[in-house]
Amino acid sequence: MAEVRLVNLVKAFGRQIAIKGINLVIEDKSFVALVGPSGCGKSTTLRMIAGLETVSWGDIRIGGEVVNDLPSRSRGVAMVFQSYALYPHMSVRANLSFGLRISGEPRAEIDRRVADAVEVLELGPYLDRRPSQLSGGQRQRVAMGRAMVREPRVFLFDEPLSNLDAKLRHQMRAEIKKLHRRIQNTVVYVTHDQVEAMTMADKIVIMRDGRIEQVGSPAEVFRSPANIFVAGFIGAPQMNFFRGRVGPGGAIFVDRIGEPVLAEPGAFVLPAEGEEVILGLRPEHIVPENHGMVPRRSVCFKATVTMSEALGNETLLTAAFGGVEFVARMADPREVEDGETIEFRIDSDRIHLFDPVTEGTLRRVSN
Amino acid sequence: MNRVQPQHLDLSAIDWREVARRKRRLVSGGSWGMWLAVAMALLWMVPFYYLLITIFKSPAEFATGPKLALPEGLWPVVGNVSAAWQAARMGPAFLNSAIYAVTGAASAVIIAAMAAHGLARFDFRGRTALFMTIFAGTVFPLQLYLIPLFFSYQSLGLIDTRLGMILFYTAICIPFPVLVLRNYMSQMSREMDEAARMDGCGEFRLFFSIVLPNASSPMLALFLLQFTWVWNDLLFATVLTQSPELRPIMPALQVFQGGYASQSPTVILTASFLASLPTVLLFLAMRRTFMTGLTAARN
Ligand SMILES: Nc1ncnc2c1ncn2[C@@H]1O[C@H](COP(=O)(O)OP(=O)(O)OP(=O)(O)O)[C@@H](O)[C@H]1O
Ligand SMILES: [Mg+2]
Repeated sequence: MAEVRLVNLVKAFGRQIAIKGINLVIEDKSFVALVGPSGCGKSTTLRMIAGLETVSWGDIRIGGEVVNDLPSRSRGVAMVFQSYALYPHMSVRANLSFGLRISGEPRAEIDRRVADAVEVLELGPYLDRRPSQLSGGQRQRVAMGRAMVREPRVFLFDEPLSNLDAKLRHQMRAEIKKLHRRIQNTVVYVTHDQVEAMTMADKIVIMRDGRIEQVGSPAEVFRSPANIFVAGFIGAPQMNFFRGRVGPGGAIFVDRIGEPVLAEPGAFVLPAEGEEVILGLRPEHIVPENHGMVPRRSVCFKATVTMSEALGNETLLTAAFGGVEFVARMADPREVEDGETIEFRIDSDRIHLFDPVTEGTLRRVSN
Repeated sequence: MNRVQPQHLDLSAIDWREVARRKRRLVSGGSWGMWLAVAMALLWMVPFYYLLITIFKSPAEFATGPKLALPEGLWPVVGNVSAAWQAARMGPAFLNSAIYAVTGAASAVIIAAMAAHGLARFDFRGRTALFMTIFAGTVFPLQLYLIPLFFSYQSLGLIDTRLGMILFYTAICIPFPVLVLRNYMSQMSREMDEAARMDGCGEFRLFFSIVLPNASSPMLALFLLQFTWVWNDLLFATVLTQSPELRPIMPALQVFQGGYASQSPTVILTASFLASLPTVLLFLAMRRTFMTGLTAARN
């Protein structure tokens, strides 16, 4: 049993407070991703769980036990570093077994665990090499192996794939996921790559400036972001935001879009008539006319293309109307000239609405 | 749209002489500098040439013949060596030098490595001040320490003892390696330390199993430098020792100097040659490690 529980966790570096009171339960055997912009405190949180940073305030519990003052080695955690941090002067075999050797495990047990890791991670051919004689992906696997042999209750990853190229990253993503399924321990995974978070994690924790903005499954945080920050952070290209006003009957009026956008009835708690709201739309829900499926309920408007980025299978159009810029996805693309005026359709069932002051979602809590 | 096919160059069309010429044009930059460098290098070689030919001349041949001429035979070197060896009592002197240089330089570098690890990795109050204090030792000319050292050694009973010599050489050899190793170690990956700590290392094991092996090449280079310094030290050895059994090689050569020195220059030069041979051989043997160690330390 190794549930990790962060209770009012605070980290101060001198007078600067990097983590501002985090409460989070990471269930046993779950795979949790910490995401957020650079400097938001992901690594700091992870390093506190690892025992590499002191806890300034609050508690960390692993498996019910408060571990604030336990040294790393007694916490039953293992970490995979972004730089891999292998021991350069040791062979792969020695790297893998180092921790077990100093904790005085019996020889046979060390051999068994190392052999296990070597088999799972396919490190057999490299056992006698030094880390400098390995490729990035191989080093990555050794780093994972080194964490694995310790049979930790909790696995910590700090951006483990960010030094790999796109293809290898894809492959390692699958391997880490497979590994997790196989050994079934708790994983806390820090990344700034939302694709990694979305594809690997059971639960995503979105952080900003030392605080948690939202916790939820990948689908939840994508479909119903709790606020403008999360909405903008999850999904690429980013969600578009428009200023709107509530009209009669819950219709949302946006300047220069002729017709009002009619939100799905009952989905939102709208403010009084005449109040401002922020309308959020993902690029795939602003459909260029004749490209992609026509939404069931939609609103049309015209805009001028200022830039188009052809990605092959689709084209990203940056377009503007009345000084407002937005990005739309063109499926099944054709060539588009800059300055061309195109008709777009907004999918009324896929809109997001936010309070302009609190920046919180206006979506009605279901249940 | 018309298709543009990539055009392949016919590789057999390459004129390799032109390739070499282009390379030379870039590298040499002009022969003037080159000749100047050669001339300077030759000038630099003259004393070594003088030394090398003289040790193969008998005292008589040296006294009568032209000084820069090649020796007539090789045999006189045997006589020179044996005369030098006996006159300066080089046997025990070599042994003493070896003891002082090896223990002094080795313990200095190891102590410096520990200090450097602490200075590079622990955040404590007064860290910079401590470092500055250590480093201040190298700022003043060493001769400054001579007299205070002499008197304090006298009152401590350390004058003219092996222990006193080793202590002095160790102490004097610490600051510079601290500077170099601190810089080197603060650039070593902190994550590696952290990984080792998570693997269960305590401070000492971390230092000995992780930090030391990774700092071995600059440490070896520093050892060589300090070894040479101790080996070549004349001043402190002369002041801090009197008895011939404790004197290292450099002060031992002093028998050739002064009013009643009656040895031929061939013997004197042979003695100096022998005295410097160990450091030269050590450098030759370890030159590769030395160079990589120096570049590692600089990076
Ligand atoms: N040792 C330290 N001393 C002082 N401030 C620190 C220290 N480590 C981190 N910080 C600060 O704490 C904040 C959080 O840093 P952290 O490394 O956790 O960010 P992060 O979310 O991991 O960012 P990134 O995605 O860039 O790795 C930052 O503002 C950083 O400047
Ligand atoms: Mg980080």
